[in-house]
Amino acid sequence: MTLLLARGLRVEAASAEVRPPLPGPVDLRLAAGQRLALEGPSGSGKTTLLRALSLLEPLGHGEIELCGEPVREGQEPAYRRRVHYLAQQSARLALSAEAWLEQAFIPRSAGGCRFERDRALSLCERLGLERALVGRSLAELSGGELQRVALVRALLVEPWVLLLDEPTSALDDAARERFEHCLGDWLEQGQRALVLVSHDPAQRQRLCDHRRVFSADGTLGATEVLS
Amino acid sequence: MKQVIPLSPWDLTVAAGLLLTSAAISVALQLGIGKRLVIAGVRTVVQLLLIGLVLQFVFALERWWIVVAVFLSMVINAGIAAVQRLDVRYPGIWSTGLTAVSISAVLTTFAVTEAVIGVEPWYAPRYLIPLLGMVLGNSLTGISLALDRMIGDLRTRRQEIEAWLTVGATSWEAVRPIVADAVRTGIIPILNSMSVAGIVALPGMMTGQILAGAAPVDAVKYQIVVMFMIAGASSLGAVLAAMLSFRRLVTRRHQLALHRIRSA
Repeated sequence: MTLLLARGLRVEAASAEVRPPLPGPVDLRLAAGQRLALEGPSGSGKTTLLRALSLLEPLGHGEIELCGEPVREGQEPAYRRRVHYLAQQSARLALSAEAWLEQAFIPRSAGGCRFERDRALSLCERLGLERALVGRSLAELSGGELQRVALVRALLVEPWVLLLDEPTSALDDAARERFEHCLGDWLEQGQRALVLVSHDPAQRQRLCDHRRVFSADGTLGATEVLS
Repeated sequence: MKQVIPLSPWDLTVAAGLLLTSAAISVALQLGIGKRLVIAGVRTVVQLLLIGLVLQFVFALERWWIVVAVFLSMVINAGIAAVQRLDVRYPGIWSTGLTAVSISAVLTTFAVTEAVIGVEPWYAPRYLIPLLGMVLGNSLTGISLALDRMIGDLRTRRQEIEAWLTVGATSWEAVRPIVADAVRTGIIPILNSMSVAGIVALPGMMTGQILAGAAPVDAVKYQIVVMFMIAGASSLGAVLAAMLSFRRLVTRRHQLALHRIRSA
């Protein structure tokens, strides 16, 4: 079953900083259960594609379907809870980690979902974060702690598709292993799919079953099975 | 009313000597602004003499269409000036500046001349033009501060905004704190001058009326009206500027469109 389908994606001018455009057109199909690694040299458009898939970048062209339904104008907020993009870096806001986690339930599109503190804390613990840490300001956290809090935030939203951009770049081996465990548990909860950008070939091998490779000029190769 | 002591050209020349103080400081400290100081001094003299002549002409004729023409050119100039101060712009920013300046200034000026002072006829240039001038001078500052803050914050706080967007916030939910900060920034100057008015600074208009022989309490009443008028115009201008730039830099698909921002 196709979970996410992108047709003819093109990003002419990426919104943020010096990010490369996505010359495309890129077609991408993600089946339920699929775990896709995006590879390619830096600057080839991996991040831009992840952002385009979560509709964070204004598309020059193309459309996206989730479970066979096209995402129409106005449906982006709800869509982004389903297809959740986790940026490589999170802002170090002057905000406690707990307040930041709770933020995920403030938008109207959260509907009836409430912030469950116990669930958040147990996820933190599983990722090797102390409970007391959620009381600290994001600005005081180490890079690795912030990355793990960001994953907790992403998992609390219970997305169907996670778009992860170098999610463990600041983690040591032990923390990375816990991170991958949590991700594995999430993947097992029904119709889930993952798109991963990671510089670590072993991690791509562990987490993903397929890959697509960007060439330096920004064209995206066909889907290959990772063995 | 006592007569104002008229100033002769010689008096103005003596006053120009005061500018030498600034020039001397510039030379002594090697500030390198001597030339700019002279140019600014000359501009002050030329611009003010010109506007003095124009006003004398407009006051003497008292035709509504001449007043309206002066009025419009002041508003347009203010709109342009509000944008010209910015280092970063986006396509359509001139219309943002003009819209924000004209709506905020026209509404508040006419509210004061019609509802508060009750000027007869409605276009009486002696009231309309100085009041508009004061409103414009302040609202354009509020507008350019709000725009500057808005554009700057959208860029520097992009991660914060996108952290909201990725958990399903609408663009308004995500950018509302940035809009609020921009509006606040635009209003701060008038807030400051309202709170120090009379204690630290004697506002220029009031001083002028007193010099012209008005009773201080009458001058104060006018100054109060003017302060409130400026506060209204600055707030309205800042809100309009922030909202209009929001519509240009955020797409209908709840995305930031920061690639539209260019350096001036």
